[in-house]
Amino acid sequence: MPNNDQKNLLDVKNLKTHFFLNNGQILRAVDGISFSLKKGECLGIVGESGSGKSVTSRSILNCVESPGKIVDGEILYEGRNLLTMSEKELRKIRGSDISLIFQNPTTALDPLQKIGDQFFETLKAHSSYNNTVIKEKVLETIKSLGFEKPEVIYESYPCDFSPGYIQRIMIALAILCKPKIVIADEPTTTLGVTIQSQILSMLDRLRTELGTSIIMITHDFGVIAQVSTKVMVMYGGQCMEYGPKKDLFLEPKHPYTIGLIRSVPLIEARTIKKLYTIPGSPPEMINLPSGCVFASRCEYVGKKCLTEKPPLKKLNEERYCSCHYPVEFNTRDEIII
Amino acid sequence: MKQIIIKRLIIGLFVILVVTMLTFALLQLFPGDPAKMIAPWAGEETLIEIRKSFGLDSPFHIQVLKFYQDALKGDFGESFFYREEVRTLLFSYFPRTIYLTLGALLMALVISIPLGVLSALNRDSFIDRIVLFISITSQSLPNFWLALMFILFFAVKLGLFPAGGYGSWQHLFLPSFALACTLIATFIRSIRSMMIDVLEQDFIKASEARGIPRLYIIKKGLRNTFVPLLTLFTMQLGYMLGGAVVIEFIFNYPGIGLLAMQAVLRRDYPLIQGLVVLISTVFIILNLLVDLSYTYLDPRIRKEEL
Repeated sequence: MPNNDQKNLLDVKNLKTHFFLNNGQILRAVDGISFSLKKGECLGIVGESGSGKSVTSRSILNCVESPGKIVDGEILYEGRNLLTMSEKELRKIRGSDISLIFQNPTTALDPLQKIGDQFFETLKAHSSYNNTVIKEKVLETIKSLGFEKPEVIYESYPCDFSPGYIQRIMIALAILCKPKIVIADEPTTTLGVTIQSQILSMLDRLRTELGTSIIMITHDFGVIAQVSTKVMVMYGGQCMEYGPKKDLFLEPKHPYTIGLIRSVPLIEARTIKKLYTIPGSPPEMINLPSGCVFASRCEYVGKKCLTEKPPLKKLNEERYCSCHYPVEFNTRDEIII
Repeated sequence: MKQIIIKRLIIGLFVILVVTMLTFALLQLFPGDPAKMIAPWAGEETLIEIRKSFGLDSPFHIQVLKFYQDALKGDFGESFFYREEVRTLLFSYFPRTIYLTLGALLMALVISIPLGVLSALNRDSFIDRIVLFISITSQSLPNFWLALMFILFFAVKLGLFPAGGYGSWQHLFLPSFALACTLIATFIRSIRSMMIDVLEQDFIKASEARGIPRLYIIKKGLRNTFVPLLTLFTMQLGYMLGGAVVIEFIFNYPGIGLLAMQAVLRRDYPLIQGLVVLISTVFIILNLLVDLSYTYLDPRIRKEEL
C-alpha cells in the first residue's frame, strides 16, 4: 500500500485550461484544478459530461489542441514541470512515462495500419532496441495481458476485432513502454457491462501488480467505486470535492457528490423506487455564474452560494471540499434515501 | 470478387452500348454532310458517289447494325478523312494523350500534395493563406490563357521548350504543365480538407499522446487520405484521357483531343464512334480498377467484400 510520506509522482497545481472561441468568448473548461498522485494510486475523476474531465486528462500530457490553451498552473511529473518542457522532451514522456487510453477504442487506432505496427512504432519511438527485440517485446506485452495468440493480433487490423477486444488491446498498447501513469479517459463508456468489468479488473491488476498509477476518468460512480483509491469530483471545470475514496463515499460533504452517489442504482436497495436524478443540466461553460457553479441545481443552496464563489477548503489532511454549507450525514442510509 | 468484376464489366458493356447509340442518333441530327466536307466543290453526282462508298446511303438502322457487327470484331471502319483504319489512328494517337495526362497528373501531385499537407498542418496561418491564394489563382486563370503565356515565356522568350508539336519529353512539358495548373487548384483544396479531417481524428490524437514523431503522424494522415484522393484522381484522369482538347489544340499536340475535334469538324463519323467507344471503355476500366484497388488499400473495405 502506498504510504503517505512517499513523494508524489504527479502533482497538478491550480491547472487552468481555457478555450478561446472565435467570437472572443472564453470557455473555462478547467479552472483551477489541483490534485496529486502517488505510485500505485488510482485517482478517479468523476463528473457529468462537459465538466472538464477529458480536458484535464489531455492537459496532463500538455496536448490540448487549439483553441484550447493551458493558461495557468503547474503539472509536475517527478518534480519536472511538463508545461515548461520543450516539445521534444514532452514527446519522450508521452506514451513512455504517461500514457493515455481513449474513450472510443474503435477510433483510437489507425484503421489502415496493422495493430502490431502501431505497437512497433510506439516502442520504437521510445527505445533504442533493434527491430527484432522490439517485435519480441510487443508480443510479450500483448501476451502478458492474457491474449492467446499475440502473433495473430500483431498481423491484424483494428477492424478485425470487436470494440471491447480492441479496448483490451489498447490497454496493452498503453502499458507497452511500462509507463508510471496510465490515464484512462472513460475507457468503458462505449462498451458492454461484461467487457467493462474485464477492462476494470485489467487496470486494477496493473495497479496492484506493476504499481502503475492510474487516473480513471469517468462519469460512473460505480466504476470509481471499483478501482479508485481516491476521488476528485468535478463540476463546471472546478473541483467540488477531493479525498480518499472511502471517506468520500461514506461521508460525502458536497451536495453534488451526494447527488452523484444517489443517482447510482443500488442492488441492495430495499425498496423499489424511482432512481434519483440531479435536477437541471450541467452549466453553460461560457457564462458560469459568479457564485458557486452548482448553486442553480443544489438542494441545499443558500444566499451566499449565489454571490460568492466557495473556496476549496481543506477539511483534513487529505480531504477538500468547495461548499459554503457542507452537508453532514451520520449514516450511509441517510445518503441513499 | 470475381462475380463483382464480371458484373461490373457487363454493366460497362451496356454503358458503351447506350453511349454509342446516343452518338449515332446525335450524329444523325447534326447538321452537315460528310460528303460535302470532303469534297466541298463536287457536283451532286460525285457527292452521291462518295456517300455510297461510305455506306451513308443505306437506311439508319442498317448503318447502326453494321457498326455493331463490325465493332464486335474490333473493326471500327475507316476514317472518312484520313482514309486509314480508325483502329490504327486510335492506336497511334491515344498513347500520346496518355503521356500528356500522366505528365500533368504527376506534376499536379508533386506540387499539390506537399502544398496541401503544408496548409493543413498550418491551418489558418500565413502559409495556409498563401497556398490557398496559389490554388485560387491557378483555378481562376483559364488554361488556354496560361498555355499561351507559357508559350510566350518558356518557348519564345527563354527558348527552353518547344512551343508545340510532338517528339520528345520537352514537347510534353509545357502542355502537361498547363493542364496540371487547373488540376492543382482542385487537388490542393481537396488534399487540404481531407488532411484536416484526418488530423482531427482520434487515432492521430492518440498517436500524439503516445509520443510518435511528427513525421510519422503526417505519414499516417496521408495514408488515410489516400482512398478518397484516389477517387478524385481517377475522375480527373478519366476526363483528361478523354482528351484535353483546348491544350492539345494550342500546342498542336497530336493527341486524342485534337483528333476528336477534327473528327467532329469534318463529320468523320467512324472516327467519332471509335473515339467514343475508346474513351468510355477507358473510363469504365479505370473506375473498375480503382474500386478494386480500394480493397487492397483499406482493410475495412476488404473485410466487407469477403
